[in-house]
Amino acid sequence: MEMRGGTRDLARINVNLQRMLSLLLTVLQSPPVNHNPLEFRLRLILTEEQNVLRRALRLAQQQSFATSEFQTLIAIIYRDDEVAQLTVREWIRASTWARSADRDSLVQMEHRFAQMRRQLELIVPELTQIFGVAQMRYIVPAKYRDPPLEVTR
Amino acid sequence: MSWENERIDINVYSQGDIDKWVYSTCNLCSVGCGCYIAVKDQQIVGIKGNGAHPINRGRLGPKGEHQWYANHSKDRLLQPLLRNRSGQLVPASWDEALGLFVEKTQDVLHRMGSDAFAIYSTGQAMLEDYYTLGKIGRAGLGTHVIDANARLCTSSVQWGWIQSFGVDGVPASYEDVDQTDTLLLFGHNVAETGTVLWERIVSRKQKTGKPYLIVVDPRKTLTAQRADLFLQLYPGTNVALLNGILHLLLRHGFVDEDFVQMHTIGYEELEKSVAHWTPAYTAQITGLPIEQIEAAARQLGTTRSLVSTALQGAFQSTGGSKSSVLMNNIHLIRGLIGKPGSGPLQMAGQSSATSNRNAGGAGPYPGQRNPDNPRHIEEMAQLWNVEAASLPVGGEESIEEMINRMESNRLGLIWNIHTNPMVSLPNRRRARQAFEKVFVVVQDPFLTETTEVADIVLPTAMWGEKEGVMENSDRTVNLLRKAVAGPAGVRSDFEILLSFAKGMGFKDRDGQPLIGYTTPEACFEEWKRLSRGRFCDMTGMTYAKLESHNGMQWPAPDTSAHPRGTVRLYEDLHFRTHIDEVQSFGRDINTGRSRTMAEFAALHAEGRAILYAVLYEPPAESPSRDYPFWLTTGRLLWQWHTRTKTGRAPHLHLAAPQGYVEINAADAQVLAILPGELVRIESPRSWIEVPARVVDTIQRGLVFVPFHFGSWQHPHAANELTVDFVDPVSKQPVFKQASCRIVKLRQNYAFQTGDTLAEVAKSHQLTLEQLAHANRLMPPYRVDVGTELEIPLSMVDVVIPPYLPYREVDIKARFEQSED
Repeated sequence: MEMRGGTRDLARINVNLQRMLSLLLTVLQSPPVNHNPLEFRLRLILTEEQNVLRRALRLAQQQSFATSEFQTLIAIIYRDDEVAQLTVREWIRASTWARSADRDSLVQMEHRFAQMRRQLELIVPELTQIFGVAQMRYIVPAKYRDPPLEVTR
Repeated sequence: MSWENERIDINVYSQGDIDKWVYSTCNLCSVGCGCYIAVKDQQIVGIKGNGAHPINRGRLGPKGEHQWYANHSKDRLLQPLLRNRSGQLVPASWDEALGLFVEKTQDVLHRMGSDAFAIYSTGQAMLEDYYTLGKIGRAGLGTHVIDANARLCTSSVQWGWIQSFGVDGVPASYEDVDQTDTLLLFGHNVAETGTVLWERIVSRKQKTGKPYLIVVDPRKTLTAQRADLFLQLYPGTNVALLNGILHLLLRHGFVDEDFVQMHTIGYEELEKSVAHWTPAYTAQITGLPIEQIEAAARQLGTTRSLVSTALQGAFQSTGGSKSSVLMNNIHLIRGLIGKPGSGPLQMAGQSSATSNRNAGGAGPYPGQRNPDNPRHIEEMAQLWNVEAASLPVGGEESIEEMINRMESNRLGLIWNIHTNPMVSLPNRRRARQAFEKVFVVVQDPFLTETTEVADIVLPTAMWGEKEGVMENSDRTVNLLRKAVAGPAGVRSDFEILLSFAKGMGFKDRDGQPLIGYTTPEACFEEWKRLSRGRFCDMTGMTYAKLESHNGMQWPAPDTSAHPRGTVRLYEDLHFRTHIDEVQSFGRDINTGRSRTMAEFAALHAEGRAILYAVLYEPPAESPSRDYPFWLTTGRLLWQWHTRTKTGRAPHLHLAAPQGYVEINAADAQVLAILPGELVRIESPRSWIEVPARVVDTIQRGLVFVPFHFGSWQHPHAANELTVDFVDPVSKQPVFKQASCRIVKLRQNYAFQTGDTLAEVAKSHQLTLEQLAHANRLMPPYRVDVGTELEIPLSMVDVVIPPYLPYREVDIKARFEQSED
């Protein structure tokens, strides 16, 4: 597939994905809070997401690269974030009910995941430049595309 | 035909002869029994089983026999209601109600976008309703936020089929149950949830000794009491047991290597994943004796035919979709699928949940089309004559995601159709708070706990008052004829959907109405065209054929030589895993992350089934010092879901009129709780107060609360207590595992001079033995003056009557009340 976006779009995407990676690493490098099974699952998701983010960043820094591979990696990052957001919400509820984490830890976690989601929302315009509106619908889940990209209704 | 003899169960209340019998299908549970509705003077006056119908040969379950009473209930809604400015629901005309509905919809779409409109429907409506709803939702409104209460009961099995075989669809059928050597009932209390199917199983077993029954359940249910091998495992350990069984199957070479080689992928990963699931480790996690695990593996490894079924004990547990694919794994490594007497037959929970899944009312696009496949989106656009760009791409959002949208102000309106989420959703207090933030439209024949948060209530026709088809648990599509007109003032769901579409002015790309049909039968004909060439092809069906054949099983293409359709899937051993066959690219079984098209293509499944390596994940909430008991929830034989229908049938209501908690006799002994004593069950979320049923059918440390009872006025609702965690793949909530504690509700009485224990007991409507037990007194019972005696606040004798027709087959009492 032909790359449509310019280097400025890629640079913006890089910045946000770097921020995303940094947030992920902060969570992954912290010691487990309460060993709840949801925390284990969350780390499984984040570990995959971290690996995919690194691959996407490496790819984006090259002069030329296979757009299809980049597209798949981006799609995985969004899908990982979808399940991570769901899982962290559950983990926060579980930890609150079990009183197994202090309030500050939970608030901090909630904040970090909100920031992660925000990073992914911020790069939608640049990704749209690169992949085009029609293709974007298959790459980025609708909930990250606001306003919706649907047309001609 | 499977049953040798017909037995016509009948329940008619009529003075004089009835006028006619009208062909129909039972609308309760997923077995799909054929029946006739008795009509006299334009009223439904009874029901009888259809003796020619192969599924039931005239038999009906107790709920089925009594389902028509609700139609006559005096509290049926006969006109729409709107919530006024002072918060009261007040009567309105249909024009006013639908006008407001359309106005609010347009406002939400304009201000917040398509995904701010949510549809939450049911598993008990007609295929034609679901198809129309899916068309309105996707081609009309353009929303992804479209789900059904089937999410609460069958989503995990739907995803089990998709993950393993590429598409939804139960491979085996009831005919295979009649032929199999071994029947595995995994978390499936069929004796109470599918009485007619259970009769069929037990009848054969009594005559032939077959099938060998393996039952897996933490409770010694009535089903378990008939098992040849009963595995009473710890709550939340289904995945551990299945991994342990797979370990033994592989270790002992109970593997059809040719089948695995030719028809599956993923064996190596599976082999690695179960390597550490030794019998000793499995026993440690599940609490089962090693010998039982080995016996199960031996039976499953050597049987020449196998049907495995499952229900909520699997799907509503932690790892629901994992359990589903692990059961599929067993069939696949043994090559026991697509043959007479063999195949997975994991059930649906409701009478037409599978119709909703296939017709596109929830989940994928109609005809099991994949919302992430551009070719399928293009195909749908052509079939509906709309722009492909206007159709939403990507999977639907589940009810859990709807709640999250409500909480984060990203949802404006929810259209709630024939379901009662304020009773059925887990952690219902949270759900109520979320619903109160948005505009709620409820479609229901009655005021319910959910109409308390409704802004518009639309009164609907009920079973017998409308026409359409439903699909049961073994892919049989059955017809329901309209027996009578509903009472003046109500409308069928189908009519409401058409009115809404017209009010919204939905058009196709030629400017014609998006919904061009006006009758359910015409709708069915359109749906059939969409099903052509898909796995769930129904082009060979017509209303007339469905009636004359007493149901047909899909796939039933118009080119088929089999008049009743297809008994079992995958006889050709072609699994639907080519990229344009699958209805989803699948999800990571351990994290739930959706696969991309490229990832799925890289699997190269291409007609082969997919084996999975599954990690065991314990429940996210388990007993603790503060909440030392496991809580599990479930159904009773006598009630259906949230009792909007069965609670209005006098016989059913009287059989099980209220909530309760089952407590193991030994736990009750330790806590000095009396049978029938009112206790408070507290979880980290909320509490209920219900009488205790002290039984020996539940394991120690576990309590059971039926989920049917949910009035806001009485604290009996199981979902006050449950956790709102979901299966990561299927998004089905985990209703079966949470933690709780039991709190006694007692007053004190100071023993006075001149008192006798017998008199004190009598004055509080207790026996001496009850008073002594409540106070841990040992014979001879003596207390000193001034001793504070504990008196239970209330006692309610909770007797669940036996189901009489069933007792002709099995004379055991339904529940064995403890002697204590």
